[in-house]
Amino acid sequence: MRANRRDGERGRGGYRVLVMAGVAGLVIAAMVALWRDRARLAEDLIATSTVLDSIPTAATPFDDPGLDGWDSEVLSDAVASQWKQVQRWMSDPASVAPGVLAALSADSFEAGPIRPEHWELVRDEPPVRIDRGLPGASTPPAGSVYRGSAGFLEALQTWRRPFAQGADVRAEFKVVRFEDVGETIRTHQLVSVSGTGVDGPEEEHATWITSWTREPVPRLLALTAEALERTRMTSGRRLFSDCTEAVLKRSLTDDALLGRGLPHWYVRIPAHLGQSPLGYHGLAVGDVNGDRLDDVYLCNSGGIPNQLYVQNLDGSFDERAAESGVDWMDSTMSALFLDLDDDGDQDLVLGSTPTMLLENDGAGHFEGRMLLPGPAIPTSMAAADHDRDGDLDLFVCYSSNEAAIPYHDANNGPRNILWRNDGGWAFRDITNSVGLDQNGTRFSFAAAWEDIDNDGDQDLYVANDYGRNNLFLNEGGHFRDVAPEAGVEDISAGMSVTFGDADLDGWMDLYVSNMFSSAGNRITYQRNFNPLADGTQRAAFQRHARGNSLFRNAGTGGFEDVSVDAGVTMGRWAWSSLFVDLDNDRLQDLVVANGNLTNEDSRDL
Amino acid sequence: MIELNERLLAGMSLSGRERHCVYLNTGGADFANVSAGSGLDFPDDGRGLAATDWDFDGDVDLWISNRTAPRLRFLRNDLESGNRFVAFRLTGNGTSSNRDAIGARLTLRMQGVARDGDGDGDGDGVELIRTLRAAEGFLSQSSKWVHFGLGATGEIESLEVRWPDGARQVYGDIQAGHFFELEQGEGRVPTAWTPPDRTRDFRPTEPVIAPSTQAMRLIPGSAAALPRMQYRDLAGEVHVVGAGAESGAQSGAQSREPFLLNLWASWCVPCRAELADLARADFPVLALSVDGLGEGGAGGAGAVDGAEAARAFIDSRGLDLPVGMADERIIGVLQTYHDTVFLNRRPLPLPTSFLIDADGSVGAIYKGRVDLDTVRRDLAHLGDDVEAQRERATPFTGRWLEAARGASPEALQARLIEKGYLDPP
Repeated sequence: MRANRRDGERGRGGYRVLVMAGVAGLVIAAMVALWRDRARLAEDLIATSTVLDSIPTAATPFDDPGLDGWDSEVLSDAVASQWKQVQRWMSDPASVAPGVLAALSADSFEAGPIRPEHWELVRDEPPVRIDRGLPGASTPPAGSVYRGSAGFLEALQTWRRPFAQGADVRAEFKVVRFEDVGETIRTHQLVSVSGTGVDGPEEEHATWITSWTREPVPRLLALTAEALERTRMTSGRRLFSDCTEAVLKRSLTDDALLGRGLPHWYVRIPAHLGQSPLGYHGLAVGDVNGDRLDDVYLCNSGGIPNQLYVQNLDGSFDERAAESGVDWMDSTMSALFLDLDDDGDQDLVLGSTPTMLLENDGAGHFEGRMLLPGPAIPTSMAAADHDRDGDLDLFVCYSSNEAAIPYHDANNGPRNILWRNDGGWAFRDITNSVGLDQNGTRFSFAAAWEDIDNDGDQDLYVANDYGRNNLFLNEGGHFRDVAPEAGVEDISAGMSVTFGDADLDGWMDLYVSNMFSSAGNRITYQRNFNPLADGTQRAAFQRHARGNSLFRNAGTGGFEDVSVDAGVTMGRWAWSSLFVDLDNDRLQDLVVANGNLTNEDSRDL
Repeated sequence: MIELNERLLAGMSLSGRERHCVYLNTGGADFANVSAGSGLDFPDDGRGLAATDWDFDGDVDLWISNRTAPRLRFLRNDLESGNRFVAFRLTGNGTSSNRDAIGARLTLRMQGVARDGDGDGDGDGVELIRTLRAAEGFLSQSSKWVHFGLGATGEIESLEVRWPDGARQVYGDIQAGHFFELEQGEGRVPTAWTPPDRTRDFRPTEPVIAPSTQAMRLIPGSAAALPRMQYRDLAGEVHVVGAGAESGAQSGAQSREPFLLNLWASWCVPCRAELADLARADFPVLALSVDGLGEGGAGGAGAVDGAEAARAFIDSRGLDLPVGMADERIIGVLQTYHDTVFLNRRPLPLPTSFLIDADGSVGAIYKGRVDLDTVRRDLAHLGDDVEAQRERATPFTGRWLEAARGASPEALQARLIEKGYLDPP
């Protein structure tokens, strides 16, 4: 309860969720743990000091799971600490004494093979070769190949060996399942190792199923490796290289704007100028001067000017926000380049409060034309000609700092707005008259237009935090939320939307960013999690922590959730996702930009 | 949650240092984790993500915006494979279709291979579809150039464009490896656009980010004033500073004027050097020692010992400046002021100085050692209007839509009351 104990709006909301659910202590503890993962709470801070000031403080620490009465989280943290030692050893074997490493395992340790004897080729086409472990190739500890502490060390050495010639070995363990079975603990963890293999960059991913002694410092009893996947860059190098400094023609080391993270600035620039600790600032690519070269607009928090990087013929960029009339200091989360007046150049929409519409004079200079009111800074904006009248209409998403009630299905947020373009820089809010107010007061983070039923008009998907998403089917300019029957409600913490035909069947599939929560996964999958909750409720909690979702468009109006089979749920704390064919093989790949709040203290809440 | 907020603002992380994920489609909507091999797995707090073929080499490059530094990354796709591409830039007619052609559906048909009618997505599909979109992902808009990867083999049979108004146009004679500009209603054989020659060498680097320091000069740009605060000088006499104080900082009956309130301790090395500077200042200074604070409480043994320590240091250096003892309320009030105006809950470091105007408003906060010239400069701006104060509160320049305003004095007052530093009205 600690994390909820507060008179602030969100705290009360959380409290209400629990009271409404009418459940007992265990659920409360679980909610707290899920909640611990959610910095969305920190959105309170967006509203600057006035909001902060209404919040009384409480001195109780809350990041100690033991205090929440949730022993498993303590044990799970202990397991994670054990893996940290292995992680350190993998990066630098000299940094962990063999004795310390050996002590991570019990004398009776047993493990099956760490790698399959035979890899099954999935793809071998430049620049990537992908193999997977044959099903059943991993044997259970009964037929173990590694025994005792010496065996444990040998297993780890075997795991590290393919990468041993490089100095860039990196391992990662994510504990996603935890089960307390009395004498022992069982955990599942997603494990990854990457570095330089024989041919070049190489990585392996697997699920390790382990059991541990049930002690304050658990020791490993058994290990089985499953779902092994190996990727080798046959080109000998990574696919992408960082050319930021080269194209911008400067070092970022002393660059106040790009070389300093927002955490540097929000402790230095007063909050009332529009600073936020969350750093929700995106970017737009567009051609501001009609030379066919893509320029880039970067949005910034209040007190830091938005930047316009204009591309030169030689491929380098010059920052020209001030001379272009777009060096706005008002906090801006998103921007769109659109030809709003159909005159052949790219006008600019700025997601600030109010939303600004700026007209391009054709040469890349902008003048303010219109302000569209809204309750806050838009979280995302997306444009399409929804009524097919020849101009672009603008859908604007909003979220808020108010308590989301109920937490898992909140519909008490601000309303999103569809602005109809009436030509001549006249825009009208037609949200309600076209039906976009159905289920339309959620905590929306993003939206994208797409013709999901191949009928020629633009449908709209909206990703919402705290609950279900919307799929608004366009029926002659009027919208109907068909998310439930289409199977794409995706009740979770929706943060972004991207469309692509992933399976090449001619229908646009849907990928939604959510929050992959290790803690949420661990807690909600335990058998004793919420004994009072029925299976449905438990499934809902599990779903909330599952991560990103891939929905295959079946072409029948319905979608099929193929997220788990496709192996694309683990997007961490995901923000932008994008379908894009990275290797020109016709197939749409997925890139997920993630990471929530990195501050200088490496301890993570 | 309040603790969560406070801890985040005190520098803790929440799902921080997470690396971006990249999944390669291996056919049939089956994906492989290539996060490390992609070279995109930066531990940044990523937010926006936009695609563009920047160098017109036929593969898609990426821009990523971050909360952390570097705030922006440009990632060049260095794909080497036999796979080909084709790209299109569309222009709608501007009457029944929007000029940007947003919403246009492009269907690229490949020759020779049977259609992937069973939808198993095994990669031999010959109909590739794209929609020209304005924004997707989160806070992001990608290029309006529509890009198709074509694989290593197979010729393009045709491209069908369904324009936003529903009109369909089929284009033939499209060669892989080119960039085409298509205008709605114009001929069925599009002309290729020739991208500029690129000879400039762009060498990849890993930007080195300089660590942030806790030393900083802050301009609150706020009308919120500090409340009255009492302190004792080394002789034990009580003085009052802050809003409504009748006397200024200096002991005696000086008229009210701006002054620099300096927090120091006899054991704090940078404080000692700074005090020697401040003793030579040509503006009023009040140096409040925190010696003994937290060791026995206000007025306790610690405070007495603290005053002794402060006096001993001042005497030993022969410093001539007004010195007094800070108590927990003074520290609390200053910390609360700081925490209200800035999104930061870290305890104030030593030394810290507040430049306080005659009306109790704060012109600047200096964390770490401050030099006299900086203070003099800031003193000259104490009477600035709110617009000028806003300009000085950020090191950046640019245009504002919003009218200038300060932080709310009510917010500070409420917080001071809540913390018990001020009585409710």
